[in-house]
Amino acid sequence: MEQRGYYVLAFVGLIFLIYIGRLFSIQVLSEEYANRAEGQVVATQTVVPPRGNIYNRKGDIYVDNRPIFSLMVTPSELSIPDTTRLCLHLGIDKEELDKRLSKIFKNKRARWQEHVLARYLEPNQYGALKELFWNFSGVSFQATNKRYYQYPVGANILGYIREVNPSEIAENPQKYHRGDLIGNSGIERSYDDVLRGQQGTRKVLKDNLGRVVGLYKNSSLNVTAVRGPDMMIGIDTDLQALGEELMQNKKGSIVAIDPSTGEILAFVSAPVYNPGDLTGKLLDESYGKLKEDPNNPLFNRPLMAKYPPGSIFKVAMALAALDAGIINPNTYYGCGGGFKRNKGKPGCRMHVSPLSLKDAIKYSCNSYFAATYMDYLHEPSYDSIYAAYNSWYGYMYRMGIGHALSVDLPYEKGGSLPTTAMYDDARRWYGHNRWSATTIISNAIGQGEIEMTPLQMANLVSLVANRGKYYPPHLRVATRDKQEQAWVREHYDLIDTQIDPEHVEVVIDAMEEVVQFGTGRRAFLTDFHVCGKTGTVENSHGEDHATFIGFAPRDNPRIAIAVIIENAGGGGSWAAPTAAVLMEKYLTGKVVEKRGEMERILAADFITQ
Amino acid sequence: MARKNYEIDFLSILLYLALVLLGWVSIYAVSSDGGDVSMWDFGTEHGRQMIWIGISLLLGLVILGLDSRIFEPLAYVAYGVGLTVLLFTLFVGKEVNGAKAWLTFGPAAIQPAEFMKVAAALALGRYMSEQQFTVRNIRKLLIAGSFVIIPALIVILQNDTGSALVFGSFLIVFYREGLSPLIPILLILIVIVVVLTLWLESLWIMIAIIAGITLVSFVVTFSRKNMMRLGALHLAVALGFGLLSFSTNFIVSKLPPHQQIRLKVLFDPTIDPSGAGYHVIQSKIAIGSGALTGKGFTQGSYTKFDFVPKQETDFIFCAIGEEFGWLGSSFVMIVLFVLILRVYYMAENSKTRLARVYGYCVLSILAFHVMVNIGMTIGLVPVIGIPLPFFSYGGSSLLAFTVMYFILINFYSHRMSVLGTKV
Repeated sequence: MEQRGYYVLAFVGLIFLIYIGRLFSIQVLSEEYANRAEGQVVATQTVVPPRGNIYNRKGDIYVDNRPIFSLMVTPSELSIPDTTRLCLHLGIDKEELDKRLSKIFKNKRARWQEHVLARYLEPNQYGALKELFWNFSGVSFQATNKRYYQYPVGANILGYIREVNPSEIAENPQKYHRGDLIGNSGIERSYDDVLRGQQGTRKVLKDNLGRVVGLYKNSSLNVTAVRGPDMMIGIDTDLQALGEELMQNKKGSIVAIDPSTGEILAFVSAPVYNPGDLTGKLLDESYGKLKEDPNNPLFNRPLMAKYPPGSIFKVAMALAALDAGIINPNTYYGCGGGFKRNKGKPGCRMHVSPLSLKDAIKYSCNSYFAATYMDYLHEPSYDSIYAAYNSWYGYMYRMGIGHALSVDLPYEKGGSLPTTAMYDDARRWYGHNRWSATTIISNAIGQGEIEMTPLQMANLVSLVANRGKYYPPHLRVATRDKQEQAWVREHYDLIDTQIDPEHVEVVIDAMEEVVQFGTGRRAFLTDFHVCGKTGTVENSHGEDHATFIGFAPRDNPRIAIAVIIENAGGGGSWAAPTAAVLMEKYLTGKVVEKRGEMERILAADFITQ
Repeated sequence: MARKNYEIDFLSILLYLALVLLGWVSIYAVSSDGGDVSMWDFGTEHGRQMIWIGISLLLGLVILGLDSRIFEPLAYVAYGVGLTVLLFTLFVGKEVNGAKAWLTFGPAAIQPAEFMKVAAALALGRYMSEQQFTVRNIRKLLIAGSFVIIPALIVILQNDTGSALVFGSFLIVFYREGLSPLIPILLILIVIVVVLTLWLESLWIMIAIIAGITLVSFVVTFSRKNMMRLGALHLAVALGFGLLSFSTNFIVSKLPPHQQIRLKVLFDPTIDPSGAGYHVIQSKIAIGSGALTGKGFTQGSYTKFDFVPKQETDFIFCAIGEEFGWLGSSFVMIVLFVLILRVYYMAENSKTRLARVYGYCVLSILAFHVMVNIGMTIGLVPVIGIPLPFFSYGGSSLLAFTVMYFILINFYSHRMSVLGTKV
């Protein structure tokens, strides 16, 4: 019987050996359990760095970040002794609070996790709540950033920030996570990849209830978040502010460019709204209001509105015709109150006749440019009207008309410049060889099928100011280098329209006379040789739109500007003085000479009248 | 005369201390949560366990000092008191995890079934040590058996199946005392057939296996002389097991679906990962993540953050597996096996039948607890809630195991003082 003890021991020993073998298999041979343990215990949190700041052209902070807080509650630990004051500070009533809490409490599984009770608390609310919370439990704050505008102008330039939507996450799950912020328009969007920086990650340990209980491997695997670099844009915030003020109670655009660099100095879209309205808790409400507004303030006019350019187009016509050798400064055409060669169309006002190019620009003679256009298209050195048209088209295209200028803003429109193919389209237009100079004569005076955005108008006058060459208009001037902390300027390639500067000078002569003696007299500045051209855009829906393009000073121009005021009538009376006020402001830093004009413009209302 | 032959068995006591220390370290690892928690904070589990260890040690020393002869007259008294308390618990006990198996005394709670094992071991030892006892006497065998079966039944009524199954391990004692090996073998075979039937979920394969094995056995043992008897025996066994398999299958198919799932989870915990299979999956992840050398003392994130339920009591082995790895858990298993060897040695070298029977009872209980407890943490045995001796948190089980173990040491230490003959 004694040996039975051995059998018992052998049996137990065998089982123990099996267990040790089993342990070896799950602990040493299999990686599965170790991976699963890590998967359940280690959670990766994303760390969102603050967005890069935006500076204005003077190097002052234009846009930076301010903390904004979300009030978080942990249901399992929640104790609120004073709901009345909590509601008061949150700005909600008891009913709303109960509604939010019961929604949070509904999720039984996540009772140990933090949930958002209220978002977008301002620092003052945060302070007040923090004081109130000394005897609360289960409440905490989560800080995020919202944009703060040191200069509350240029909402259409800057754009705004919102949370990524599900489709964006689905499209790019590596880059975007739920709750991430993304620039929705303006440079916040076009430079989102720059400004947002690089998200970091933090590995934390979570317990069985999903609570964060510590750091994983002493944070050694964490990836540090890198703040987006600061960026300088060419906007002169004072000029922008004045431009926005001048455009109050008006619809329209102002685009000002530094011709020597292509930097956009001002970019006004009226009606104007405060960029701060689209931040934090205001976003949804303000956005809804702006979207409902019949004057459509969210429509970025300088970039997206297309107008027949009207008389300002004569500048482009003159340059093309001079350079193509169709006319010279001494070419005279007659005008009898209309273009005689086409049954008096287009019509014209009474002025001296016949007249030179200079006078034609000064008096904005429609007949002169109709004749020029016709002669251009009939020029015998071209094989056909097609070749002639394409030559003219080429000039226009090189002057930035008919295509987007690739400005660093999203949703830019290219305007329209008809091609021969378009006119050849028999169904929608004329058909092959079934159109002639007379059919498309209104192109000559910027009516017809030509449409330009205010940005293109500004670019046109900018390239005139710069004697036929231009830098693509742009906002970003420089980006702050991380290591050096110095501004690194962006490089832009000069674009040459291949128009002889000599010809440009002829047009500039005329444009100076426009301001000195012609339709643009209200743009005159004593100390600067302002050159410009007014225009009136015919508007079949109501009062005509007033336009003006100009630059100053004549030599070494520092500012080129395009102004378009919808429903303001003639360009001379409203658009030209508006441009002058802004030019004076930019060139002298103040408005003295044009103070009277400024007050007149500020008082004008072209929306409600 | 008694004093002269008295010799305390320090080796066994050292082994005990080592186990209790290892157990306490494991509990500390789980309950300290890796923070700087005082070892003496009695609000924590490791702090309270320290108190229980102190009490147990004191009690153990008291038992060592007792005259060995006192246990024989005490055996039936203890058994009687034990049964009464057990019955009492059935009516007024506190329910923990569905089992009405606890008596509370203020902050402390005692599980009488734990102590009943000791009483039953003593009573069985005394009954079997009476001169006339032999397993061949069916009446006496049944009486001896009822010493074990009665408390087991009460414990089943308490809905504490795990503890009740422990009494089944006494079969080892009967085997050692002369019971035919056929009975344990038959029992093991029955278990194998039932488990296989549940696992394979196919009656036909089962029948094929039984038929195949019977045929092989018949051919191997064939001799012309015994042909008829052997054939009849094989046929009977095959039919019996076939019937067993069939009825198992039949009963399972008649069970409500949720109970069927609970049975299936025993073989594949992944079919119900958040329910019945949760324990085993989490436990295996915790142990498996320990790899060869473990994550280090108190560094086991998985157990630290309470992913494994009941990890300081029934699933304490997870902490060992996670924090000390395969080397650590194998070491613990080896220490536990050394304990069983030591118990075996003390049992076989006792001078009285009472001591030997008692020693085998201790061996059976310890081996059963260890095999079932560790087996369930690594997914080899169904989850049966019984503690790992000397490791699991809880005063009741530690006290009971201590008393059980020190009575054996007492028997062994006094073996020279007792006149007896080797049986």
